[in-house]
Amino acid sequence: MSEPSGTATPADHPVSRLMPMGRWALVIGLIALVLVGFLASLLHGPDGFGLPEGEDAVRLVLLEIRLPRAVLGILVGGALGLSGAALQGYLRNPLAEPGLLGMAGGASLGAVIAIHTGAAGLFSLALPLGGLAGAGLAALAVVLLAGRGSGSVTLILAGVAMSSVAGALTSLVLNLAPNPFASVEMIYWMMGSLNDRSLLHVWIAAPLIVVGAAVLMSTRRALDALSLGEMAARNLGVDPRALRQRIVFGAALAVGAATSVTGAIGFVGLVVPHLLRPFVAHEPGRLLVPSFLGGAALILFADVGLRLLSPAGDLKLGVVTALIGAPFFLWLVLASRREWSA
Amino acid sequence: MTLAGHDLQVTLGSRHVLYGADVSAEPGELIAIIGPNGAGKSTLLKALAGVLPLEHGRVTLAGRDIAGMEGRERGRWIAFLPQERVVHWPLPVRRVVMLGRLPHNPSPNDAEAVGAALKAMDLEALADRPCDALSGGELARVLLARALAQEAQVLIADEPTAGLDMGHVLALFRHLEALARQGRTVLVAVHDVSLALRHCHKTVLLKDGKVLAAGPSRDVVTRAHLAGAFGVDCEIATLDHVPIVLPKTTLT
Repeated sequence: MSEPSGTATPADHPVSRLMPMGRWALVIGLIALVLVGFLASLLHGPDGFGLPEGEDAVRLVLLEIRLPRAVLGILVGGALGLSGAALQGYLRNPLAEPGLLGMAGGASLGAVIAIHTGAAGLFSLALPLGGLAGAGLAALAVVLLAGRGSGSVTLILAGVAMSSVAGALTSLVLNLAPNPFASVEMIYWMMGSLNDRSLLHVWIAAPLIVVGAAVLMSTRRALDALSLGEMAARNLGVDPRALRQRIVFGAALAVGAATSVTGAIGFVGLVVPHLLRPFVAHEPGRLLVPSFLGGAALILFADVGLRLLSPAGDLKLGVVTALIGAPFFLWLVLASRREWSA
Repeated sequence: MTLAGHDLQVTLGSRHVLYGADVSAEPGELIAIIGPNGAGKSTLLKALAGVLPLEHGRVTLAGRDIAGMEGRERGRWIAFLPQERVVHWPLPVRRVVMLGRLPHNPSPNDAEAVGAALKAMDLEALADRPCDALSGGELARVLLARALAQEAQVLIADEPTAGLDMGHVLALFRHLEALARQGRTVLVAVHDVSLALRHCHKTVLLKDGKVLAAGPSRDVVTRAHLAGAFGVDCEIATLDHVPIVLPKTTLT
């Protein structure tokens, strides 16, 4: 069709709101943000920013206390942001979030059981290991429930069912708690926190999150193709069944490991991809790396912020992210509604 | 490179959507698939494109079963435009067309292929516009440009003319004819049977999942066949060398 169609020129359309930044500008900016958050997290202690006196003390405090906290902040925030972006791309729904497939619920249940049985009191790793077992079982159940097909609706239904079951069982365990202290411990754990995590926690979570993130990253082209619907994606070489397996496996590893070491941290996986999408021209594949970095930065800053607000450490990270996230999400909904009605 | 479907059968639920259909398409041919609603046109095209599992039968390209091909290789041979016209995110037009290069990626002539596809579909002025700021007909051309950018030997398009204004319908068929002249194989499902008669070398007439007639368009698009398939009495005439099919009354 060579003749001009006489349609409007791009100038009179709101292109600018979607104009992507330079390919690397966004990623570099986010990396810088993560670095700043990382340093702030390392340098902040009970007495404000700074380092303790004495070489041994510096080594001990930095390596054993602050480094695990900062590294876990990056890993957990990244896992949640990336999983959220991948799930939103896969389900083609901006409301998808990492907890949707039931792994976070499974991890919480596993950890709560570890507290209830007293295993957590016997050795400190019982909590994360219980969480991992719960997340793994939840992922397995979701895969079995969703069946061998390739549909995303069955996957959501299976995930929602699994989340409900895990939630109900978690309530049951809380209900049957042997004493009030155990209930409080469970509730605090479920609120999500980076307090008092050790390098051991990092060693447990890091490999799983790295593998999960790599698996999710491998879906980027398939997610792009899926923007055109399943039939067009198949024509472009996407195997929907293999894609679904990779999404579930990657998200199970990343979200399961993250939730197992920190407890449930809400809204990061929902809000971060949403926030960054316009900067990558809404391309689901290109959204993955920025969402990892954005999630990491958000968790780091939220964690430093809550330590500034309550140095005693009684404010929980999951509570803060929800407090920031929920109004922000509300604002997003209102903003998009204005855009549609305009 | 001959694309051939042998004894294709597809069942959805308890309904035989395709029931033993045989189709063959040669290089250089522009073929129309026509038939009443629910005849199995879309299913036939999906089966020929290899995006739908078959119950029975097979589709071969130059003698090779396409079910055995790796997905991206199949995408380099066969481009398929589905009937569903969705772009789930407000992607810029150029990025949507670029998706057609996924089976090739990365290839040195990606940019060239995308540029040619944009030009062919008259989209150069819209290249940076987000897809949610397009009209239905513009979106249809964007999605067709995606399939063109695939630069496949075989192009299968399910109702590419739906929603297009008459100027763009004419231009579209000029382009499809040019592709056929280059030696590509082009199959299109159309509702307007005049288009089959006017532009397509061959026509396949489907009804109830079976091939009712197939062959040169003027042998297939006949009063008797249209009456049998659509239940409509049609007048077929020629005006200034342009064939016209005029539906007159429904037969009961």
